[in-house]
Amino acid sequence: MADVNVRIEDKLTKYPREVSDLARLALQLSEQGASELAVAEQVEAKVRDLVRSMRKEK
Amino acid sequence: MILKRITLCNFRQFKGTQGTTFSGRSGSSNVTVFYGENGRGKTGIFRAMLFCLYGDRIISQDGDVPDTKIDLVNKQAIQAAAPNTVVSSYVELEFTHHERTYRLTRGLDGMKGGHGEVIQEPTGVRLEIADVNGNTRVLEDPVAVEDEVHFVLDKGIRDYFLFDGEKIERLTRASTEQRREIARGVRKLLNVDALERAIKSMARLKKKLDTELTSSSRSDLARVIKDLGLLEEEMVAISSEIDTVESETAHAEREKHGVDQALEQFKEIRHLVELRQQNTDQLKDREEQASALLGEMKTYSSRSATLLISDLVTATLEYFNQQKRRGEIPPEIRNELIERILREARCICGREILEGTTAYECIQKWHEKTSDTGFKDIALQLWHELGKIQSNLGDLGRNVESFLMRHSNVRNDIESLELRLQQISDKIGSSERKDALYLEKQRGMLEKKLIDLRARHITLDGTLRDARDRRRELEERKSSLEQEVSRHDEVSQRALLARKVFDALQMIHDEFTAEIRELIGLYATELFERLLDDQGKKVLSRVVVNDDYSIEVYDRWGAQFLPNISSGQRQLMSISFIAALARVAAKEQLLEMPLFMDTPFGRLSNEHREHLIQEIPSFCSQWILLATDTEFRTQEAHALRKNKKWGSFAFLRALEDGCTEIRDMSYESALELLAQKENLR
Repeated sequence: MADVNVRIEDKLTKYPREVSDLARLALQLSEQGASELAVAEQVEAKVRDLVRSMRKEK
Repeated sequence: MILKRITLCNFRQFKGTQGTTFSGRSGSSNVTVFYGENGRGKTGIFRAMLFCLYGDRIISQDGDVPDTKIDLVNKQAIQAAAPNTVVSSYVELEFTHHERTYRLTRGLDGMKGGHGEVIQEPTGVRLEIADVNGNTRVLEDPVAVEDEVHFVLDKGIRDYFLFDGEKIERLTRASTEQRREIARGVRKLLNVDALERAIKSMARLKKKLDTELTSSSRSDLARVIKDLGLLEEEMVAISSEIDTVESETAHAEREKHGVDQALEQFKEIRHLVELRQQNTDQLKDREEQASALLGEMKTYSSRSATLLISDLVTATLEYFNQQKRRGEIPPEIRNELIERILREARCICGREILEGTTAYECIQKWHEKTSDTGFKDIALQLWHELGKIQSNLGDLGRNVESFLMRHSNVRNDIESLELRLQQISDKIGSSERKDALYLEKQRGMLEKKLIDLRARHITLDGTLRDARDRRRELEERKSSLEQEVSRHDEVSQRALLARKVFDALQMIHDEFTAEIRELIGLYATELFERLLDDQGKKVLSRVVVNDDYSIEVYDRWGAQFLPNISSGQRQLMSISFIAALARVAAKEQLLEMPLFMDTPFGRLSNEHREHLIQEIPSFCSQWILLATDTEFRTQEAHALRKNKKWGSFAFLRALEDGCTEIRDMSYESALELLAQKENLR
C-alpha cells in the first residue's frame, strides 16, 4: 500500500523544497500513527529552524 | 496477506481438531473452494476467520442477535462432555505478510449451563511472528495482537476482502451509510487518512502560529487573522452540523430500510390491508349516516306517536261526520236564531209559525237539541282538529316509513361491512400484521424527514462552499499583509511557511482523491465490461465514483442506471469496484490480499459466473469460495481447471452426529463428487 504514496510524492515535488520537506515530515509522522498534536509540535520545531536559517542567510 | 492454513478445534460444526490448507499466491492455482450443502459450516469457516483475526463472535448476517446467543463452541462436544466439564475450542490461522510468517491462535471455552444453555468464555489469543531469518517473537497481549493484525489487514478495510454475497451487493447501494463506509474503506486502503491527519495537524499548527501573530503583528493583519479564526470556527461548526445531518440521514435510511423490510412481509396481505381500510372507512361513513337519520327521526318522534292512534282518529272523525250529516253537529243554525224564530213566530223566509203548529213543535224540539252549546262547540272543534290530524297522518306516515326504510338499509350495510371486515381480518391473520398501515405511515414520515435532511445537507454544503471562498479571499489578503511584515517578523515567516505547507497538503489531497476516484472508476468500468454478459454490455457503459464516494453506473446514452440495475449486475459492479480499489492500492500490481467470498454466485446467471471465474483469480492473490452444491458445479470446476486457477477443494461432509468433517479432495475426486450431486438433482 506504500505504493500509493508514490503518487503523493510526485505531487510534493512541485512545491518549493522547504514546503515539500515539511509536508513530507507531517505525512510520515501521521503514517507512523503520531497524534495530531505530536505532528504539529514536531513540524513547528522544524519550521522554526528553517525560518531561522533562512533569516541568517539573508 | 496470504492465507496458508486454518485449523479448527471444536469450533461451530467442526468437532475435534480439523483443518485445511489454502492454495496459492501469485496468479495461478490460487482458488480454494469450501464446498458443502446449507448448514454444513461454510459460514462457520468465515466466522472462524473473523473470530481468529479480530475476536468477532458475530458477523454481519447475524443482524441484531447478541453475541452471547451465537454458539461458537461445538454443541455436540459440549453435550458429550461430563457435567461441569469445560470444552476447549480454538481457531488457528497461519498466514504470511511482507515476508513474515504469522501463526495466530484464539481460544474459547464452553460448557453447559444449569438451564441447558451454553456458556462461552474467551481464553486468550497468541500470535507468533517469524521473520525471514527465522527469528520468532510471540505476542499474547490482546492489544498488541490487535495492533499487529490491524497492520496486516485493517478492520476498516477487511470488509472489502472478507465478505458474503449480500455484503457485496450492499456495497453499491447509495445510502448515506454505505457512502460513508465506502469513503472510509477507500481512505484506509489508499492511505488518504494519513494525508488527512497531516492536514489536520498543519491546521492546528497554523492556528497556533496565527494566534501568536495576532498579538505581535500590525492591526490590519491582526484583524484579518481574527476574521480568519472566526471563519474557521464557523466552518468547523458547519462541518459538524453536516456530520450530524449525515448521521441522522444514515439513521433515517436505516430506519426506512427496516420499515421497508417489515413492509415486505406485508406485501402478500397489503391488498387485504387496503381493502380493510376501505371497508373501515365505509363503515364509519354508514355509522355516521345512521346516526344522522336517527337524529332526524327524533324531530318526528312526538308527532309520529299519532300514527299509533290513526285508526281511532279515523273512526272518531267518521262518527262526527255521521253526526254532522244528521245535523246533530255542528249547530249550524245558532241557538239565538231559533229563539228569535220562536219569539217572533216567523221564519226567516217570512212564513208565520204559530204556537201549536207542527212547524212550531219541530223548531221547539230543535231548540231543545241545540240548547247544550258547550258540548257542541267542543265536538265541532274536535272534528276540526281530527280533520287536520287525519290530513297530516298521510304525510307523516310516508315520512316515517321512508326514514325507517333508509335507516334499515344503512343498518344492513353496517352489518354486511362488519361481517366483511371480520372475514378480511381472519384472512390477514395475526394481530401484528395490523402494523402494516402504521408502517406505511412511518415510512412516509421517514421519507419526508430524509427529503428535509437532504435539503439541509445541500444548504449546508453551499454555506460551507461560500465560507471556503471567503477564507480563500482572506488568506490571500493575509498572505500579502504577511509578506509586507515578514521581512521584520519571524513569527510571520513561520506562520506563512506553515500555511504554505497546509495549502500544499490540502491541494495534494484534493488532486490525489480526484485522481484515485477517476482511476477506480476507470478500472472498475474495465472489469465490469469484462464481467457483464452480452446484453449488459449493450446497455451499461461506465462506472463512476462520485465526489462523495458513492458509486454510479451510466448507460450507453449517458443516463444514470443504478436504480435499474439487476441484483446480479449490482454484485458484479461491486466486485469490479473492489478489484479497482485493490488495483489502485497496489499501483497496478497484484494486491497481496485474499478475497474471501461466502455464497459468491447466489445471484449470478451462468454467463456472469463464467466471466467471474475467468477474471477474479487474475486480480487477487487468493480467491477463497464458500459455495453450495447449487453454486459450484462440474462446469465451474472445469472452468477453473482450464484457466489453471484450480487450487484446492475442501468438502464439508455431514457426519452422522450432525457435525461436519473437512475432507480435502483432489480435482478428480472433487469432480466425481460434483457429478454425483448433479445426477441426484
